[in-house]
Amino acid sequence: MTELPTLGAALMRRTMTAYHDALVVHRRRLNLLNVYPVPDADTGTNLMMTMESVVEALRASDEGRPVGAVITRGALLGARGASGVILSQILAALVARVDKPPVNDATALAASLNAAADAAYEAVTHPVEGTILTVAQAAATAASAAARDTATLADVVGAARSGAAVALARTPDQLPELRAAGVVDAGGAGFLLLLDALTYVVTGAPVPEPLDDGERPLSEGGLPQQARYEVVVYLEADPGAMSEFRTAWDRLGNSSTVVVEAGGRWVAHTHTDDPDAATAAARATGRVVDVQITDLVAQIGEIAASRRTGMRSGVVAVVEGDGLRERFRSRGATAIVIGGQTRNPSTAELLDAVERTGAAEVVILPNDSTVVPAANQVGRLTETPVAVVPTRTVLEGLAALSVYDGALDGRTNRKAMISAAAGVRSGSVTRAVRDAASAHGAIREGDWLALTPDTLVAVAGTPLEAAQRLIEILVESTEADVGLDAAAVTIVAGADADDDVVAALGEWTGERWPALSFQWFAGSQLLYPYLVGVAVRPSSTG
Amino acid sequence: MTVRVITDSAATLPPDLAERLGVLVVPLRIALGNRSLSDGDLDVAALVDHGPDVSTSGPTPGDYLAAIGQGGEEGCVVLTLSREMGAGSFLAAQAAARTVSTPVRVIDTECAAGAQGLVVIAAAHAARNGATIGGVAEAARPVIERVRLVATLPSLDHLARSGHVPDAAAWAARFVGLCPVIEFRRGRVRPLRPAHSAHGARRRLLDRVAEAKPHGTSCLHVCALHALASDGADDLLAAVEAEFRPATSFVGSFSTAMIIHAGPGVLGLAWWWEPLAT
Repeated sequence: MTELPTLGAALMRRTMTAYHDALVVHRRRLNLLNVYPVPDADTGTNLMMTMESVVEALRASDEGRPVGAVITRGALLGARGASGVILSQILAALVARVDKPPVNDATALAASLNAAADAAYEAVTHPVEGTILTVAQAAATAASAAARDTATLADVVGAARSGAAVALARTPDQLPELRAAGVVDAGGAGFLLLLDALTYVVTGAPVPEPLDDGERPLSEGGLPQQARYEVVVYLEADPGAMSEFRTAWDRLGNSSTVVVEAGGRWVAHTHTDDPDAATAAARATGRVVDVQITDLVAQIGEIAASRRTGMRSGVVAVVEGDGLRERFRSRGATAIVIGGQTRNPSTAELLDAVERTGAAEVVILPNDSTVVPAANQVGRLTETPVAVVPTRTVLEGLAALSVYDGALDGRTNRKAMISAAAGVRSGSVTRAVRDAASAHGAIREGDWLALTPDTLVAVAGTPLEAAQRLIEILVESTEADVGLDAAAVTIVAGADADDDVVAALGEWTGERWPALSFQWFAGSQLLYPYLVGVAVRPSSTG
Repeated sequence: MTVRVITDSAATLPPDLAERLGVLVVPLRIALGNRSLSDGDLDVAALVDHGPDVSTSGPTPGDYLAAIGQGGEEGCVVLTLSREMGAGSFLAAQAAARTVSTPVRVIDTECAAGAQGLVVIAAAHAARNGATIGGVAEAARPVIERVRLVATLPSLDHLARSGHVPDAAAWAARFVGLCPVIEFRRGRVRPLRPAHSAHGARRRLLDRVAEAKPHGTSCLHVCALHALASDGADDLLAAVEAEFRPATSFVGSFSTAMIIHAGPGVLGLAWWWEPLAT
């Protein structure tokens, strides 16, 4: 059996090299984690370059020079970025006594980790929890606890590492920005890697490899997995059917299902990742009186966003489909209510979303003609001033959102947004679910229909044909009004869209109208595989 | 002169102006893959279309220590890029300040580019007039409070990618072909209502300067700032000079690191109105 290493200059020197090497490998992963305080994806790069300066200083230093001083100076001179500066302060504290042989390795390391955590807190003007500070503190606390019971260095390092890993996994609970992005803190992850390097030098256990199964790794400690949607269903059903329903929901939900009887109705509540299946199960059980679906992840993002921006006014948008919801959110919508052509949200849901924004004034984008009446009711039910921009399609909604300015009041925004929405002609393509008669002749089940918000405009045998007819009509009306100089065709591909059809539409549009630009994105909406918009540049200047 | 004023290259002070004022400019850092470079050691032409593996950061504490080493007899005042924009400059300057015996005051200018430059100029004037460290800091304070920066840019994509504006604005600009207008104030980039043309955006900038003029006698200090758009900046500055007869005016060209952040084509004005005692 080889002799266990002891805490001292040689060990720290090897740890610095091991940490640098680990950062070279983990740099990209740490960059991708970096969303707080500014998502500039450079934490890994900054830490690596800081350690490069340390390793270089060690390489260049004379034999006799105290290693602690060399590391401290190398880190300080080369510290890059905020994370690098914090790391330089941590290292300085960690190695402060490394050139004096400690009485007891285990307690000395615990003391150094505590000094390092203190230094991290002192390095920043306004300490924020859920960052490298929290992770360093957790490591220090765990190390102190272990040092009381044991005398080996490996035990203290192991305890510090476990404490840090647990704290790192919890950082998303502390910072909404991390939670919304589904990541742990990048600086904290970088600190854990320092302990991995120390573990390697002390015990020989290799530094873990970066996860390569995606761009957004979760920590190995495991981000607490919580289902994304909260679903509440009001149900009229036979009591005998309820036990089967409960079983179905228990399977879908994460054991948070609650079913109660209230006033002759059942109220069922769960957290699940599959709200559609949850709703379907309810429909199979009895008469569904009302459904409320809340996207919990989005809600956190909304709160984080409103805290960051402190905007005067907020935007509530009614949208369904993951891709569309994400688009509205990233384009500035403060709150999303799930719904649309296939599911009209209630006034109460809209009201709830308006109040959730916390904004002084709120603009609502109903994005469907049938939702406008409910939206119009909201203003009477809240003290928050509410302006409804009566968008009839999601593409009108997106155009309206594009001119929204959070710093302006709701009335001014409403005016600009209405005019922007008017700059978009839009429609949808869907499939007939039954035979019917129409102004365009008989419709058979399975035919493809092209619709504008006002009317049915074409019936066709294939989705491509229906979409082409719709684009023609939208482009013609645009051309008649304002010309085609600065127009763009946008396709929103639904859950059942065929990529080949979208590609064919792109080619066809380019050939037919070379002046038009063409773009598409995945909206994932149900029942309407293709939404089409033709947007024009406002004709005014200045 | 006994107090030395130090800033970073985000302030976009023209080198001859910095020299005349006795200001030391510490370069920001650029990481190109695994290579670390000083802002200014790298030609921007090589960079604008470089892949995604480019990032910038504040100077290192070592860079600040070198500047502090050339400092004044009475100490230094370091005026850094906004902490909200990138905490690196401020934290690095503080870390450096803690290791020296010379008195060093580190101040977050809460702004960047020409706005930061205007703060530095006010501080440098005070230092040249023999102010103490406290006096130099005092001179910077009202400018930090008053300075405004409004700019127009061909696309917000670069700013959005570097994480400084909500993605919303980047998309808005593409969707309807508008000219984004942003305000940078107190460390935050905020999209303003976009203009419908470059000309309209330019007019909006001049209007903002006029609107901000306080009641009573005051004089304007202004910087026309740009990233690879020097002709536009010269024209803009000429328009401002004709309209407002500023006391201070200069063109602040973005350094390579700043262009990485904001993207090429940024054109704007930074200014503050100084009330004159009656």
